[in-house]
Amino acid sequence: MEISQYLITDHRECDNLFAKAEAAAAKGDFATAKDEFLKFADETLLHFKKEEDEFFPKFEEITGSSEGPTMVMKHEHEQVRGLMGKMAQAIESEDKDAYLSLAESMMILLQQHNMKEEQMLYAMADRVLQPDGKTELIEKMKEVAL
Amino acid sequence: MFENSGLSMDQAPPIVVVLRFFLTGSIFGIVATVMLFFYGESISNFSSAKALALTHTLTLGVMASFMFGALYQMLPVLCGVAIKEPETLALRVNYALILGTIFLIISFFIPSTTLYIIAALSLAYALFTTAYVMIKKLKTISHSSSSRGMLLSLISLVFVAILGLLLLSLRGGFNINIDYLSLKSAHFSFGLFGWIALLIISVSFQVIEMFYVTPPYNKKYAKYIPQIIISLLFINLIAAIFAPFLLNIIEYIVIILVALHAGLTLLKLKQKKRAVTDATILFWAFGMSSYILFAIAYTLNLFITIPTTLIATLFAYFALSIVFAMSYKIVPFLVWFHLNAKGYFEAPMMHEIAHPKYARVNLYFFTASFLSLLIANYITIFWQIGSISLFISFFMLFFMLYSAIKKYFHILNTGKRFEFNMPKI
Repeated sequence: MEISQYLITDHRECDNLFAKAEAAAAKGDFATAKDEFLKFADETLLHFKKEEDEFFPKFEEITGSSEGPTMVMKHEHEQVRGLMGKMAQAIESEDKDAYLSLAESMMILLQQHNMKEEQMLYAMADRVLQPDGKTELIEKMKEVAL
Repeated sequence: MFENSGLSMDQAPPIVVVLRFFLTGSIFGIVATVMLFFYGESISNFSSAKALALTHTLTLGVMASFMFGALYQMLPVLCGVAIKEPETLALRVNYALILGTIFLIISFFIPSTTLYIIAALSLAYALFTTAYVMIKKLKTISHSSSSRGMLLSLISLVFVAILGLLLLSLRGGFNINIDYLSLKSAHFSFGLFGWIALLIISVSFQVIEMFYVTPPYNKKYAKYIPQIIISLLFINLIAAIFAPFLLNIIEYIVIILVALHAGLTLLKLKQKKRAVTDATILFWAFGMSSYILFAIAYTLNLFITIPTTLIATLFAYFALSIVFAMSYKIVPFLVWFHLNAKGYFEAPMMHEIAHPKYARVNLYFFTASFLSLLIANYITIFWQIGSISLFISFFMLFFMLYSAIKKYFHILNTGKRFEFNMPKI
């Protein structure tokens, strides 16, 4: 399996969960929205952990730099975590307009972040790593837990 | 390794780079509606000075401005490439584009070699400099469907500009041994389909899936459709010289291909996973529908007479819809993104910059203008009604952009922020 295939599947799963939470919030069904949002947050944070604990160190090893693109990606992870906190507050206070507004920012922030990862970092890892190295990295990422 | 892969630490250009172009585009949009109000049905002669002035206000003033602003923003995200000193370059290009467009418009009414030369030099600087810088960057990366399409669209723009400069030279009295009408036809085809349609197709590959969480376009389709369209346009150009009877057939194939893409995009939008249908989705759907109507009207025109201004209106609304869709999505996000990244506590949420209700009202005026301008082909008073509605649409867009800039600088100058050591944004 390619690194990109594995991590892109995570991205799409997060998108689906995000869409479900947003749909529920748009209908004013905050009980469902809360459940779906928690699933989205868990899945996203787990994906970040896989990258930060396993993928980025490997990428830094390949490129010989820890201050390059991975630093930017980690910074964007922090932005997403911050926004996630605000979305959680909005959902707690059942503020539909605030939630949908924050959701809009979250969606674009996540998508442009995913795009950079998918088109650059994952693609580069797939090009550089040998098949055994890819399998080993994916297995390590599968073991990561929150 | 980073350079080879197109990776870059610089994520986004300063927000003023993007907003300056967008603001310019919206002001030219307002100017275009004033022209439309006073010119009305007299633009039906496409070779008239009034029609040429209006067309170039919309293409150079509006479309090129929004395209440049969007590309300065999208290139780092799409391709991981950053443009060096974007502020200085963007400022020069912005001024040259404004100056060139204004002098070109004046030169249509007051033929003067001096005016032609000023317009030609300014536009050549604006278009060629931007195209050169961006094409150079785009050539160094491994492509996505979107970036490949944008590269082809930029190449088309260069070609449109060269043909345009040749046309200007002919109007300016320079003796070049090229048929004026063939040149004009090529300028027109490459402008509408090679530059504008291809640009919108390329942008759709990226943003439809990204903004609205739709199923992706088929990879092979997305890879080859821009190449097929531009190849057909070049074949068309050769046909103009060696096999003129093929001209209409090839152009018609291009029109149908773009219509199929519009249909496919509508299907994708229908399959979106996000439940919220905001005005930007409706602007996209509007644009794609308008293009399909354009293709139908173009086809019908082969058998019965359809007013050319009606066909042109359908194409214009295809392009303008996407300008509105992108502006209402990108600008509120950028204001939040830049202030948030700089650590400002009061970074406004997207709805505080452009509330969905405001964007929806803008869509209603835009739709009213569209319907009015279609009716205007049969009841002339609707030229004025349509231009007033379109004036309000562009003014609302301008006001949103102006408010966004004002809010951004207000928070930048007075807001509280926390300091942290992070990459420069």
